[in-house]
Amino acid sequence: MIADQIDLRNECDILCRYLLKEKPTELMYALYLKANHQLKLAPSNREKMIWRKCMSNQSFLYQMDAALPASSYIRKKVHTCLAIAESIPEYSNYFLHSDHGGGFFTIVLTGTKALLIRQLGKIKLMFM
Amino acid sequence: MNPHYDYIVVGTGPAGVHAAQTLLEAGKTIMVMDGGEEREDPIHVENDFFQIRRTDPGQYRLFLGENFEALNFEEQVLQLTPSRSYLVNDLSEKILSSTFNPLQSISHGGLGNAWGLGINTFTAEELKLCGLPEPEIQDAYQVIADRIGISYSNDDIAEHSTASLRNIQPAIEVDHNASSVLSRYNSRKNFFNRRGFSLGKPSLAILTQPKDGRSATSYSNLDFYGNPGSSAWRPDVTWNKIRNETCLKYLPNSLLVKFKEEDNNITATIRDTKTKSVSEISAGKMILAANVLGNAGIISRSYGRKIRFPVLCNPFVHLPMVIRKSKPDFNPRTSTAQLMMFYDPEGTKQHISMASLYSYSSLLYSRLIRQSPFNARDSLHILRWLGPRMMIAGIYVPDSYSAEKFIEMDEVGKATYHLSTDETTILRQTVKSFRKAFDSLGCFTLNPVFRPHGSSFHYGGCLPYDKRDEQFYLERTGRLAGSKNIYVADASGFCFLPAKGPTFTIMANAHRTALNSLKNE
Repeated sequence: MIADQIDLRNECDILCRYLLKEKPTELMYALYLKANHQLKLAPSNREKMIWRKCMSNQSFLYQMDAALPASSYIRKKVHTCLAIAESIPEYSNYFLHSDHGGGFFTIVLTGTKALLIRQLGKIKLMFM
Repeated sequence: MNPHYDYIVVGTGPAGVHAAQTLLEAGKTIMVMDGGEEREDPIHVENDFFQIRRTDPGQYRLFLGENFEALNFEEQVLQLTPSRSYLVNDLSEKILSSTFNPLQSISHGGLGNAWGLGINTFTAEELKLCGLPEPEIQDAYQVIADRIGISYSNDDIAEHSTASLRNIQPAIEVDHNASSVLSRYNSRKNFFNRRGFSLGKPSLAILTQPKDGRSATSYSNLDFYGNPGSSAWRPDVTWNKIRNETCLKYLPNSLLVKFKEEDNNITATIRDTKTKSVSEISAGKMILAANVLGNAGIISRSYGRKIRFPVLCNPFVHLPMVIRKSKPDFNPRTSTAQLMMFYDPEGTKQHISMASLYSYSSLLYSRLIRQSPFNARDSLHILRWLGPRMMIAGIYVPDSYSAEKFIEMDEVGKATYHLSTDETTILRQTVKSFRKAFDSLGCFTLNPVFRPHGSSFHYGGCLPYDKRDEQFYLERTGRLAGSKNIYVADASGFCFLPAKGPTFTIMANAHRTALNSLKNE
């Protein structure tokens, strides 16, 4: 049980840094733990292997989050963390401010980059 | 000895509560039942959406649910906020179909609790196609408007909404996106009108001035989480008004299994949804208002056989778009539709399509990111910019009968729903026309999302009015053909489903049906 909690805290830490480039708050940890116990997401063997690699390599996580379908274990984990982060007041600026130094051009660039990352992730998945 | 009532009213949704109120006003004793129970409104906060987001550490309960219901990754529940997810729980009869995906509810208040609050009146031509008598419905529209309170602006779409009604409150204040689109429309009104389009502020069952102890909207953007001050009309507003009447008895957690009619007596067999125990009650008359699919199940069981019912449901498309010249602000508004657009290309006032425009301003981005083709991090980056400038149009087209649209309610409900080639073509052309119009209004439209059949929440037609070649139909009065004292008060009788949200007409029809049942003494 304690080992499980340490794993989940570790996951939360990695996912939060991946999504927001921030260290999780104590509330974030607590809610992530609670949500995971509630949701009981179960990975397949292949997903377990991919997840382990994601936890040790953030750029691989970035690619898998783009390449896997929304119904996959990995993306459900990422979305769980994102949804919880969105309901934490300390992170509200990441969600409620539209002015973050970029305009439409930056958005187009981000979309293009996201498409490329997705393709790269798909290629990697073909060999796994 | 079972207690005997003048009436049994089945269902506490928009139709049930208005039928009940009309019967109580006539001095009748009534037993009202539904498969759920009364609930307290979950919202007791003074802050608006943005203040909660910025300051409340317990906000996850509101936005994700105490048990993270919003994260259960099931498509159907995704359409409801966590505080409304109870609506689809405890269903004993689900429809299993790969072509029809309806939302069903047996809860107190039913689907009325998830209603978008849009108020539209059907034109004379639409009422005729539905099989509804125009003068009776027009009178009933006014009665319901006086009961629930409506706000609207007398603009270009008034003829589709509430132009003929009196005692109406001023329209809601719309947000930055809607203001931008509306000002563009007003500068080129003739251009759009010539092409069959009209745009305006929506008529809503939401108060902008206090009424009957209810508050005006506080513009908290929390309309789909709770109902602060009861400013929005939900079935509970009427229910709370009538529930303490001595002539009304409420039976919660009770599903009507079947009924039997003998002479002037109706015996209803009821199953307790919690204890599963079965009991009987009797009454002189019965009004079914258990929603179209619920009524079909009750009638199938009562006649002891599998019946094939026709079904109608508006095809429904989401069209996301970015408002080019929008200047985002974070001033809270209402989370209801900000604008409505009607499209009547032939000007016949019969086959009118409708688009409701919502800003994405009261839901979490994570709900949207879940469906994004990109990774979550980049999707968030994109949405931070797009989100406040984004509107989503829900486009609805009318629906008519065909042999390819039916339900069978047995122990497990089955359904088939296919659009014909012609219907599919019309749907696609309609979406294309709306896209062109929105582009001309300064919106950058993204790819439309064709929603699964059944997901519009608008159902009708399983017991058509006056279709004598059908085995099960309703007389014009709302009485079930072949019965003496059983009436159906919701949209089950509509032979055509206009694209406009039918809820206001369902409420008017419930009042009219209750009046007709009283005449038949």
